[in-house]
Amino acid sequence: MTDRPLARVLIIDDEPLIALSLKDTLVEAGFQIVGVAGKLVKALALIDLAVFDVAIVDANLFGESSRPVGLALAARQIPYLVLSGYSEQQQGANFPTAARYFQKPCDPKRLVEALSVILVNRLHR
Amino acid sequence: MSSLDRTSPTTLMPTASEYERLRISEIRYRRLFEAAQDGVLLIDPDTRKITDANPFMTKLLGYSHDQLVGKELFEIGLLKDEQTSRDMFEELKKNGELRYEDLPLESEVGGHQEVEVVANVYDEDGRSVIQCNIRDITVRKQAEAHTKLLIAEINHRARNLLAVVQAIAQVSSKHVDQASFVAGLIERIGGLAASQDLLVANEWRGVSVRALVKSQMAHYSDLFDTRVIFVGTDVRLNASAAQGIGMALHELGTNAGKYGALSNSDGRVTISWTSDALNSLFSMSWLEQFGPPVNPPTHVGFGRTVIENMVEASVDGTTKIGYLPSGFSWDLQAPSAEVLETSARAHLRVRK
Repeated sequence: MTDRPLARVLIIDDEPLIALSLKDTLVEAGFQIVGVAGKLVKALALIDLAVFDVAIVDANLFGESSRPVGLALAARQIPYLVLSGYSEQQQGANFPTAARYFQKPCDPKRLVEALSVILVNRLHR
Repeated sequence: MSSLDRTSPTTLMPTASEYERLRISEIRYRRLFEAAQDGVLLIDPDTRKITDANPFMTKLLGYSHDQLVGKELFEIGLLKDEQTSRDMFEELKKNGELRYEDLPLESEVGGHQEVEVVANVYDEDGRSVIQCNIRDITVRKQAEAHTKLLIAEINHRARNLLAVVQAIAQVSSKHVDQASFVAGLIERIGGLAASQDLLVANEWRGVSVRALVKSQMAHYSDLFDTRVIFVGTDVRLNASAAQGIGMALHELGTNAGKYGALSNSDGRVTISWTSDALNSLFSMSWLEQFGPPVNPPTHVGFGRTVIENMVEASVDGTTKIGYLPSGFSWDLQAPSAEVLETSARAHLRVRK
């Protein structure tokens, strides 16, 4: 188990405390966090530069839609899940390539499970 | 008994006083028809053609009286096609009345309106007549749509706030015993609620920094201007900065009351802020003096996370913490654009 490479996650959320709690949850669950972005510009830059396996994306960053983030991730063929205060009905259409959609607040356990499933599916693709 | 029944049997003409009464009645009911602020159409049920229209109908659709008379409803954009029109008249024949709550209406001038249609059949001296009342409900519909959007937006904000509370609970639960975790959580939720009140009171158009500082320090209001000193000209903070800075002030206040300058009888806290227009920089500082001796903490607790990482991320700023023997200090610097409310953000961001 110990020599297994950690799955690398990019967190995109404009609420620093939520990003922090996500980071805690995921590190505890055995993931590696490669970066946290709260602003759209930084998120897009990280998607360009960082090496990671999966992303968690807030649907709206400081009033801007993070739809371009979904597009950039899809272009790089990196799976992602959306985590937003908006319902899937309200925002789902902006993220047609999302592997999963969760509405905040969300049980961290469900997020971890979903990330694991996404990563396993990716390995067996 | 109408006045017509009592006309003279020889001439079948009304008498002078009856004529006068008829004239007044005609004026009264014609004015009612002409002055109505709803569209009124009279329709022949057999031909389905309009026989009369009041002036408001012209205002509503852009067709003149002459253009309206002789037309069927689907020809003036009120019903979408001839079949719909036939269905409508069938229903009217069966029930004597009908009501369409909202009907999109394409007017002659190309405008789009929402209307409500109430139609009923009545007898006019042996002939059936259909009366159709048409009310423009565009404004009401827009208000309803806006209310729907607001409710959706409020739900989004409520859920975000719940997610913040969940995050606080999760992150602050580390390295503390249960009693202090619960006490801390309750206080922090109180602090969030105070910031929320200010945001809602200003309809999310930003929060006065002075009001925010005072509300997060409300616990010490009897020390205001003597041991808790505010220095700075008021500026408005945007919603995200208000929440982040508000939480940081809450942690600073709690800490000062427990271990710092507000934990003894003569310590002092000076909270100052400036908005430097030249360098587009907002700074805030918290300076404690005359408190008990300062001991730097041995571990990074939740409070420290909030006054450093969290507030830095929420305003894209930098913080500096000092443990000078004279007292604890905290400084925040951030680009004004990240902190201050600007006209571009100065409304509820609701997408239409």
